[in-house]
Amino acid sequence: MHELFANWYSQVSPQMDSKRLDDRWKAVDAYGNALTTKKTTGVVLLASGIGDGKPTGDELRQAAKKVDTTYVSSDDALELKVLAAAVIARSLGVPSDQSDALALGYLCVSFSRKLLSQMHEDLHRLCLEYIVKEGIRIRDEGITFPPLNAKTTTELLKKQPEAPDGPTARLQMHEAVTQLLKSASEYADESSKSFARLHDLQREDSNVAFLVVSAYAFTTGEPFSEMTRAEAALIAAHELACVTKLTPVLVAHDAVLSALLKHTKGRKDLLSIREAVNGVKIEVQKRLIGTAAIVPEVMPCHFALQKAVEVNGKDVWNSAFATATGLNPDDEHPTLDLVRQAYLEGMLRTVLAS
Amino acid sequence: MVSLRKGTALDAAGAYAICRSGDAITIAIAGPVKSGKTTLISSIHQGFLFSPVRELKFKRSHTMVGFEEKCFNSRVESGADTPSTPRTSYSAGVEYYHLRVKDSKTSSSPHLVLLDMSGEYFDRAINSRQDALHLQCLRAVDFVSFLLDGAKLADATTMQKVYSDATLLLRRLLEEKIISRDSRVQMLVTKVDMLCKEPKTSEVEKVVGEVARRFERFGDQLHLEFHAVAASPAVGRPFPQRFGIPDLLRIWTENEKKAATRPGPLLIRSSRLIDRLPAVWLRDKYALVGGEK
Repeated sequence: MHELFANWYSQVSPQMDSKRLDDRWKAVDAYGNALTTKKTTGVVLLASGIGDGKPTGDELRQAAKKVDTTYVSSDDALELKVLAAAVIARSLGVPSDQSDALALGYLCVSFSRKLLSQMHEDLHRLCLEYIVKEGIRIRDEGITFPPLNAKTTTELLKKQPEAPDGPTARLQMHEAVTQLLKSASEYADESSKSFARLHDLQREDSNVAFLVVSAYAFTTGEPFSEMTRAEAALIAAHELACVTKLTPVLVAHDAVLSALLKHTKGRKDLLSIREAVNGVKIEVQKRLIGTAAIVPEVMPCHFALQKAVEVNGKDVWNSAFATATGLNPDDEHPTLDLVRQAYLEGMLRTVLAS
Repeated sequence: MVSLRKGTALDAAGAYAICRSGDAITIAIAGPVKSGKTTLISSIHQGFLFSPVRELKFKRSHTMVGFEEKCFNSRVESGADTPSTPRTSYSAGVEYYHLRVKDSKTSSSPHLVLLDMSGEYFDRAINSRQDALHLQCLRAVDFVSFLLDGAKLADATTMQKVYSDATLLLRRLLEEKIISRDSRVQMLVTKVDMLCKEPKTSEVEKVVGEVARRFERFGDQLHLEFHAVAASPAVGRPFPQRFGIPDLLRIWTENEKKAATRPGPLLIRSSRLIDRLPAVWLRDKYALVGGEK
């Protein structure tokens, strides 16, 4: 049983009944085991109390009934919410595609919503920890971004005076650096010790190079220093999402995004979704949307882009956005929070589409 | 076969059946023996017998019989000389009283679930850590309303004991992590008619302010709210029946959720440059393990 489950469940039952608690956890366990990536969005929405909770609520109820036949199927909104939160917490214990989707989904859905309770605070924290730890763990286990160095980067950029679209450019970079890595390893000392040392150096090198590369937006073929924050916000998130897909590791996204924003013109510390979407030209908006499915309540930034593209970039999508997401597009957010949201949405869409 | 509710006080299973919907506001009425817990609960029920309490209308209760049992001794029919309420016994454990009200201001219909426990639980918790664990149910409630006996505060020989007992109990609950800075703890001065000559706002505020000063030491650890009530004022006192109760009900039903205290920055456990950067650039959100640079 997750260490926080009893705390959360005490909202449902002020005086704890240990058998009932065990039974509910068994139901959480059973539901979590059968959970597919596609269903994770429903769990996230139920845990955050958004929407009517169907069909996830019914499924969780059935799982609870299987374990405890006395479970009453009415007036159980809070209980289902706590069970859904427990499904998320449980999944975060073991890394998987479902865990990635749940963690990313919960962080995304928390954006701009006041989910005021200790349970939401706990869950938000658990998801953030999961994302950060996973990034570190995967890279420590050897799945690393291919090493780049300044020379390679410069050469690549020279070769692309008119920058191709983001994914193509990255594939070319990937090929180039894979070749580089291959040749580097050929030159490397035969002994495992020196190779390990080289590998470590390459990894650090790649991280620094990653920051350097990030100063340039492949999506528009411009450096970030030429953009305002409103222009750069969604593009920066997209750029980092593209690199992350390639690595395929969630890097220290807050640090990188923060570095990107430092390059941009102006010092706009607060930004609304509306400003960010309208800051991007229609051609770029189309590139940023991609093809993966969009869940409005969970992916407000991408949904706003989608709506803007539907009306050909005109600023008339606000009411449709507010209705579908329950959010106000004019609400201002710290710029880094907004960019992080767009980035996490991008990652979530990738996980859900995989 | 349809099983009808007895209407008596609910046990844990009965409270669970109400709380699981998510519309319930739970209030623990806490305090030492004879501090006025039962009187407070019964006066809340009695208030709705005559008319709505401000914007709040009575909708239903699963514990009507329980409320009536508590009120009986305070009625003329009881034949008693002075109004009183029966003491909640230690062996009864935790009892729950239910009331559903309709708020005409917000159109919401919250359930109010009042936890009643014998004052002995609180007396024992002061002296024993083991007994304090019986108060775990206070951890999950929306409000902990801790009663300070106004009659004892008015008497110089007992005043100090009221303060010291309350202080010791709060400290114990903090130590056992039963309450925290995120808990809404209300300190209710009961029988305020014994402390004020008249129900004037300025007089009552003066008394409440004096009580609040005695608990200033908890300023860093707890958010304490202070209120005064006189659920059943003594005969001859110029206080209206259920003085302060409507205000209390308003606070409970509004129950503005406040954000839980955000935990400290996320700890980064990595020796790699890129992982450590957030702790360098975003110090309010991230920190390195052990604070290393």
